[in-house]
Amino acid sequence: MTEQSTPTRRGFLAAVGVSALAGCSGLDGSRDGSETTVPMYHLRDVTEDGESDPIVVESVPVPIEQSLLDERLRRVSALLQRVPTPLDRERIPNGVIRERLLRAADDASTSSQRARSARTRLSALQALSRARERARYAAAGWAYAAGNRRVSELQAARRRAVDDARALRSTLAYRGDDPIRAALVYARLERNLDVALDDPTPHANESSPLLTVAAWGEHAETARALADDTRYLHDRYTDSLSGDAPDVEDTLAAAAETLATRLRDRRAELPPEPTESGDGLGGRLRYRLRDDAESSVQRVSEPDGPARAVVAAVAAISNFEAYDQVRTRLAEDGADAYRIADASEVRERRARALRAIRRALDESPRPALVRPALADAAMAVSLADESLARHSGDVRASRLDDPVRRYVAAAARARNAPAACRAVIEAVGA
Amino acid sequence: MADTATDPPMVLRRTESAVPPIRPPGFEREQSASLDRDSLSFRAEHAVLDSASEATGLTADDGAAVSAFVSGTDFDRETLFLETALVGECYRLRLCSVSWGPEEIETEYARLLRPYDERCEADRSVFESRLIRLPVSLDADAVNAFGSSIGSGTCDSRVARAEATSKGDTSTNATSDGEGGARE
Repeated sequence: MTEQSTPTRRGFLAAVGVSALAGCSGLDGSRDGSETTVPMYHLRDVTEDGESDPIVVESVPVPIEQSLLDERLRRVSALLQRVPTPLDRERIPNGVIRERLLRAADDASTSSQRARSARTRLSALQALSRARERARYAAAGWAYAAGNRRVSELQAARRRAVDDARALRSTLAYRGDDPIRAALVYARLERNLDVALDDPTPHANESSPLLTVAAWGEHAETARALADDTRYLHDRYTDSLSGDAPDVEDTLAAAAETLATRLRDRRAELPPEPTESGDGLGGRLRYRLRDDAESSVQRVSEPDGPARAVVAAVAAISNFEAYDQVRTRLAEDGADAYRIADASEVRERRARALRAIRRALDESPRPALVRPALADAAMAVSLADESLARHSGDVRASRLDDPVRRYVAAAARARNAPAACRAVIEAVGA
Repeated sequence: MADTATDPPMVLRRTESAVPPIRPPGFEREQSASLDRDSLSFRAEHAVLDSASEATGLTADDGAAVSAFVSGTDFDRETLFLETALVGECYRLRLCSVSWGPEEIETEYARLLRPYDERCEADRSVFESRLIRLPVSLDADAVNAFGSSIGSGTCDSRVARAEATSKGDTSTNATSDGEGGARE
């Protein structure tokens, strides 16, 4: 009954597929033994679907060349080559500091590997940015020990990258032959540049001068990668436009305002939540969906740029529809409408979420526009998978509420995403 | 909490051995062969010494320095407080503040990484014992509540907070650190 379960996401997903053997004695801290337990056995075949990673990731409608990815990978390798091998106790005698640097180098390698198997060129580029950052952390930390790196130089390097990002931000001209494509590209540029311009200091929580230099190295690399990648995407996009591609900034701003007004009205019309929504699965599901719907309005009505507002509206509208549907179902079928009793039901919830996400991508009139919202939903599924992977042995069914809630919410959002996508296209007038 | 000091007179000792470097009265007698390092740490965690006779029961790896510190204490106006903590070998603690009232004593520490070129292992721990002289005569039997917090980063923010809440503390010097700065 207590066969050892590998505490990995893959191990768990196998587990979820097994048929229920409910009623085993509670091994997960259950005191009264009265609640149903779900055995987290491992099944070896279920996860062979290869879907532990998000099934939809973000993309950008700009052709990213393989040569750029190769160049970024060379940057990672060059940084890692600055770190001597082995980085042992003779070079860095302090074991904790040595571990920090080795972990950063390891992260860089892992992210580089992830880039090789990325589903989109954009996610490959993002993985390589992460690899660069971590490699720079290790390289800068070692350079401190080698005596040739100081915080001031890295701060200056970051300032140069931020200056580049600021210059690009101030000259962004929203042009496009296709306003939806323009919205997607400029949303990515706006986001990247805002991240580069934010966050003036690294989050260094250790009191080590060496690790402070390492953190500044990582921080400078982050800004440089964002500035360079954004410049690349911008230039590739504008090169692809026809010479008379119109300015679409007003179009996007007007659409954003229309959508924001609609969403604010929608928020104002939300029915009052029951005073006692309950702390069970149904209550928490409804509460979280409502909270997500309300908070997503802000990303449309107080945007960091008109393009981001338009793109964010897809997820926001989906969130409101998902909330309405779940609320209605709970009103009709009661608080236990989403309760699960055994592992096969968990597996079914997950499968429904994945089906809904795939179908939404197929059914949307502009798959690229719905993709960011679906990438969020797919990420929620992966997080739920990870949450489940932390369990082993037999667990009380209520301990699975959190991942099940994420699966149900992801499915509800995805099912409503195509209609939301159509509403946004209509608002843009595309 | 009535009073706070950020740089009190103190003897600090650190050791890799199995017992704390400064031990309260009765420690040797109560020590059991079955005690592990963690329970030893717990046993030695706090002791309040309100008389010279009680304080002479202290034992230490460096007995002379502790004896001299005890001799220099005026128990009519002062109290000794012994606190021991386990800390990762690659770290050291810095005492940010000690606060006291008639029934309680609290300490705040910053956990600082040691310089990169000092040899240590990430998975090894050491004892740090501090014998602190408080500028107040406390009744050891009345002190029944102890608190200790350890944060990362520096003492600066903690000192500022302690000073902001301190009442009538004139013995502190916020700009100095009795335990020295980072060498790295």
